[in-house]
Amino acid sequence: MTASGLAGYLSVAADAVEGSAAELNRLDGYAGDGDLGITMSQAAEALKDVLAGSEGLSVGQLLSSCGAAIARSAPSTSGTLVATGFLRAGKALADPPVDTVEALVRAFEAALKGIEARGKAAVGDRTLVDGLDAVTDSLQLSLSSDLGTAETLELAARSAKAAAEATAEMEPKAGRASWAPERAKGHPDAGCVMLAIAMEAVAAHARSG
Amino acid sequence: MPMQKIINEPKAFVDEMLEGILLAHPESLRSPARRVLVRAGAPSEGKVGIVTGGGSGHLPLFLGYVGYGLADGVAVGDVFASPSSEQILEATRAVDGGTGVLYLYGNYGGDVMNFDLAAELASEEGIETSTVLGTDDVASAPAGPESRRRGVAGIALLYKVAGARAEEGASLEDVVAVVERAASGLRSMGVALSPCVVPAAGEPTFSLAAGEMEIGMGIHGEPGVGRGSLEPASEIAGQLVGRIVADLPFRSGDEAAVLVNGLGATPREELYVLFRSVHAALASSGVTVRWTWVGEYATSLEMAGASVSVLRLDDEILRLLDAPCESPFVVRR
Repeated sequence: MTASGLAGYLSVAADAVEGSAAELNRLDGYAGDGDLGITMSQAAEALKDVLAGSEGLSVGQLLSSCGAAIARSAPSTSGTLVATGFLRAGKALADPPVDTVEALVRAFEAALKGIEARGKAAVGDRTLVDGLDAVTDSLQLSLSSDLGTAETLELAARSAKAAAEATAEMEPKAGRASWAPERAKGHPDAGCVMLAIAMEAVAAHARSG
Repeated sequence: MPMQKIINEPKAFVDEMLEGILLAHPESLRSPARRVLVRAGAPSEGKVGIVTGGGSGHLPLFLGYVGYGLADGVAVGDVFASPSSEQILEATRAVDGGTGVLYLYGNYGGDVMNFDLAAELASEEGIETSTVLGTDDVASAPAGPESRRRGVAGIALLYKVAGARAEEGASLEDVVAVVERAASGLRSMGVALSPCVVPAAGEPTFSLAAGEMEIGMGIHGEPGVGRGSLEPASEIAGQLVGRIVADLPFRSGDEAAVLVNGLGATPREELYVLFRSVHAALASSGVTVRWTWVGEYATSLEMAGASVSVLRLDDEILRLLDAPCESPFVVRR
């Protein structure tokens, strides 16, 4: 994986998340405080600022800088967790493998582990962790099946979407939504939907180019 | 009913409070970044830095413990809300004297998350940090998994211990060792008599009828362990001390430091009436009080009530409690 390749993926993901801000606010409003779209738009803006000045950064440095910028600009629980994911991914790719799929696996494994620990959430709690876990599983499967990057991202995006839809029927056990679990019922977790939107944009980018 | 508060815009409450504090104490404090305060002379070259932080609404917690022999910097959150990792990182940079920084704060989910992230960011910048959490609130979780317990007023004693050891020139490892020992021998219990009103919310945090009290209520109105009729001070002291002594447990022959803390609206007179009975209750368990603070050390805006914290002493901890300290809010000579 190259830093410029990574920057391309991050840029389309940030645009997609920003474009979905209203939808994310609405979903977060059912059981949270309804500001996930606002917070994640701030994170996306910060990320794009980093990308604009990213020349010369390595893959690991680029991810770590994104993490630090998100922590600075989106100081909420969700921003803190997303920042943690980027920082851990950056550490995991300090010496990145050439193969993009292998790099993605390492990055997502590290991000998942970091976010689980910091957010004290496990798979099944109806949080972003459910989506990340599904994506990580899908990436691992693609790596062991020797699939190419575009196909790998396509499958990962589908897994993210399916995982997000499944959260609608899950009971929230961690995070803000667990304070009023009945209000979350029937609506997908906003964090998982955000991940699905980002992954879909990344998959489309890989498909086109 | 309008709020009985001396404020301007509720939204501006925290920033205007900070502006007032900086105007009043320019010789003691400076602000290197928004909602970050450090000692005017920070960093102290070669001294372990101590950073704390948490929500506003608890003065003198947390920022009132930034001073000589106490903490070096603080990240100030909104009322009852965690500061951001960025604020904590700014405080860390501003107090780092090259020998590492101790993060000492209360065990609340948002604070833990943001301090941990700040530690990760600081480490990327080459600043070593260690963390010790205040987990003294006996009522907040069952005995055993103490890490699930919240931190309340007892943390004031931990600042005293940590700050004094750091002024002696101890290494980060040595400061951590004594603060961890102090934290493991520290227990608190509170009683609430009336709620507080968060300015931006405008409503009381909970309701308590006249003539009622709630034992074990948290400093943000978290439910306690028992609500009942308001009892005489001697009865309240017996209940609070009974739970504290049984929990550690304190043993006959132990020596202790005691902090009787007012939650905001309870007068000092009542705190001393309470302390009198706390002293007697401890004596009847064979625990000798060697060191005392009575006053407002961790409040909850205008909540009425009090808390009792008891810290098991050894020679080193007593020496550190006896050492001088000075901040705009807390002075010991």
